[in-house]
Formats: sequence, structure tokens, C-alpha cells
Amino acid sequence: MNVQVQKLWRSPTHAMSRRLIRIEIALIPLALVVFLSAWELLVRWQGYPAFILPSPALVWQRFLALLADGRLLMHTTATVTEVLGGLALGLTVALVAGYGLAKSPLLERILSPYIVASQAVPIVALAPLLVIWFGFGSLSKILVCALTVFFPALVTTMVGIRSVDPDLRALMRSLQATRWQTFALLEAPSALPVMFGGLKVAVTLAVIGAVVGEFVGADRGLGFLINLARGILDTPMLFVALFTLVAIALALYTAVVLLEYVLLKWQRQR
Amino acid sequence: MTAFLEAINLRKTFLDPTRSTLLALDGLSLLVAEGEFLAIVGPSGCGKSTLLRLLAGLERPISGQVRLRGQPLTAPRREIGFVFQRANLMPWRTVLDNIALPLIVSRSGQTRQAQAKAREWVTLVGLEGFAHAYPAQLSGGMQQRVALARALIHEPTLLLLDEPFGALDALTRERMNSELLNIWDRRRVTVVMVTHSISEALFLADRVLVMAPRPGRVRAEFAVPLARPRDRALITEPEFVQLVRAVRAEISDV
Repeated sequence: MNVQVQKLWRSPTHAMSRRLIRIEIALIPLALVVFLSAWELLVRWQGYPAFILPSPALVWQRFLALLADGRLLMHTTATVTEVLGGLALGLTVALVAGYGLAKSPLLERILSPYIVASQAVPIVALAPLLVIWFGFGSLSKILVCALTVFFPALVTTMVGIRSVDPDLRALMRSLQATRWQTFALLEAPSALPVMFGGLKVAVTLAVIGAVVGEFVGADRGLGFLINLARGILDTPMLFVALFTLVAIALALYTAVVLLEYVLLKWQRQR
Repeated sequence: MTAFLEAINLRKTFLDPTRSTLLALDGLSLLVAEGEFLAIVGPSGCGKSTLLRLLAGLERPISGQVRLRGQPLTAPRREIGFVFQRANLMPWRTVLDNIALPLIVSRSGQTRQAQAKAREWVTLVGLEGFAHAYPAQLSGGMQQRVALARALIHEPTLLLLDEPFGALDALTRERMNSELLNIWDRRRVTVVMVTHSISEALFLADRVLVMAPRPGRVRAEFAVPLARPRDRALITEPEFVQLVRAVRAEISDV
């Protein structure tokens, strides 16, 4: 029954782009191999001491050691908890506030100077204050994280809700849709593509936010581990922490892309 | 004539970009009988679309009143179906889900019943095989059929069409006209249609109003005494051609 439809979108260009995607996926690990080889060669040729630039093999050894004594897992768990907590808090507040501001131009006019001003204060300068107020525990980091995530999520929510087609709004009115129906059937799905853009920015910023919080004052977390490694010139450990942070950011980003792939199925059907 | 839909002395103004008030409609009145097909033609900017939005309750007049079965109409109602100039479909919903939307909003019956009814309409507007396609995969004519099905699925008593085929090519437009007549012949809802095309108006309607711009008002009225069911061949008949000429004279005189 769907034969006609499939004919419409299974054009040659579609098959070609699929092949290209497959090649691209194969190139990602290849680039990693090239990068690691270049790194190893550089260390061997120049003979850098390990505290300046350790070889990849040395970093790998340190990684296995940190994994074995459980420290890496403990610090990673701490950071991931802060990131997820910060994301949950920041996104929730941004979604609610963004929706409210999008619906009320008056509210936006009154509040937007304050929101922009809050963004003008560097989060690095604000973090010490939050640590003094909320302690060395994870709460202060969650707050730093939430603050970094808040702005991009807020702006994209506002843009998304504002960009809803006025004719579709008129349609919902002509059907006498309730406020909730207008939100669930029109505004949310319509704003989603824009909001995913903000979400991609937010998840990577969330990792930065957590590390900034940990730098300022913490007794655990990957930011703490980096600080510790710097103090004792354990550069291999520093690299391990760094790569773990990269892995967290990549995992979060991939999760968002997958979610987008599932939720925005209609955008691919062109 | 018993009035099903009445517009009494409608006035509507807009602020134009230079901040001066623009009189879109100046004391416009009209009567539509139950089951009648009324077409409104006029040049661009004569306030036809504004009039239709007032009749739908989507906008309020500055003064005057719209009445449906004698009752003042102040807000949109479900018994009024509206078809927009663009198909105005939700790009994230499939054809089937777009057509079912009014049933879902009015919560009439189960989702499964709504789906079954939407399926009927998919067939009725000739989109078998496209039920699960997204709007972006359809041609303009197909999209407008989805819009028509969506406007009719909850069996409105009044159907308002705002230049529904204006964006289509001439051939598709002719086919859509015939299909609209077929559907209308089967379920005689009251229709008010705004269009640019004189022959479209005369081919479809029982009565044609000619509007004049600045300020928008009814300039002339033509009864269309052509027998139904009407066939495409009708448009070359002398009687039809004569009517076209008469209507055109009223418009170009403006």
C-alpha cells in the first residue's frame, strides 16, 4: 500500500547519501588511529618527558590503573551526576521560562534585560560564590551546570514557540482546541526541531559547567582529578581525565542525536 | 430565503505599515441560505479573506455582527470547517493523522474510530496509498485534498474556503473543482468560497458576489441558474461565457 510513497523518496540521491554516510562512519575510527599514531611518533622523535607529553601507551596504562583502583569510576560518576542534575534543572527551568516568555511579550520586555545581564557575568566568576553558598558538595556544581545550560535552552525554546505557524494557530482555534491541546498537538512538535539545536549546545556546555564548578572547589569529580594531576605533575592522569570528559560529552551528544532521529522522523522524509 | 448565515453591517479596520488605519470592510452585509454554495470574487485587497475570517469567528469586527442560525457568532465553532489558502498541514503528522486532527481535538470517539473515519476520507479524496506519507512528500494538489478532507471530516454545517486552489496549477485546479463539486453533491453543506477565478466561482456556486476594494464592500450579485450536476464542458457553453463576461465587467469597472 505504501509502494507509491516509497518510490517518491527512494530516489538515487537518497541511496548515494546513504553510501556516503557509511563511508563517513568508517572514517571516524580511522581518524582516531591517525591521531594516536602521530602523537606516539611525535613523543618518540622529540623524546618529551612524560610530565610534558606522555605517550598514548603511557596514558592507556594510567587509564587501566585508575580503572582498577576504582578512582576513575568514582570521579566519573561524580561528574556525570552533576552534569545530569544540572541538565535536568537547567532545562526544566529554561523550558518553563522560555514558554512563558514566548507567550507573553510583556514578560519578555520586563525580564529580558535581567536575563541578558545574567549571561554577561562569566560563570567562572560566579562559581566561587555558588560554592561558598551551597558548599563543596555536588549541589553547587549542579547549579553552575544548570546556569550554563539555561541560556541556550531558554533562547531556543522561545524561538521555537514563537516560530509556530500563525495559520496553524488559527486552525487550532477554529477547532476550538484547549490550551493544552494547542501545546501538545501544535506548539511542542513545531518547536522541537529548533529546541534540539539548543539541546545539542546545552549538553556539551553542561560538561564544561560541571568542570568549572569542580575547579573552584570540590573533593571529587574529573575537574578535581585534573586539578590534582596538575599539582603532582601526573600528566598521564590529566590526559585520562581529559579524555573521559570528552567521552561524556560525546555520549550525551550522541544520545541527543539519537533522540532527535527518533522524534523527528518526519524531517527525514523529504 | 431563510438565513443560515448572516453578516450584518460588518466593519473591520487594520493598521497598515505606515500606521494609518485601513478600512478593510465598510458595512458589509450578506445572507447565505442553508445548503447554498456562495462564491465571493474580487480583486486582491478587497477584503475577501478578511470577510471569511470574520465569518469563521477567527477575527472580530469593529462593528456589526455575524449570525449563524440567528445566533451571534463571537468565537470559532467546530461546526464551521475552514480551508486556508495554503494547505496548512502539520508537517510532523502523516496524511492520515492530519485528516484525523479535528476528531482528536474534539475527542469524538476513540482514536481507532477516528483513524477509521480518517481512512474513509483518505479514499474519498483519492489519496489511497498515501495515508502514511508526510505532507512534504505530497504535491500541492494532494496537500490541498488533505486540507479539504480535514475540513470536512467532522461534518461541519458550514464550510469556508479561502482561495483553496489559488496556489495550484490550472489543470490541477480544474480537477479539484470537479472533485469539490462531487463531494458537495453528496453532502450538501453550506459553502462560502473566496476565489480570484471568475470561472471557478461560476462553475461551483449557486450565487456569486463581486466585491470592490478600498473599502471592501459588495458591488454586485449574480445568481447562477445553471443546472446541477455540472460538468466541465459547461464552461464553454454560451450561457456560461455570458455570465463570465458579466461578472468580469463588474470587476474591471472598479
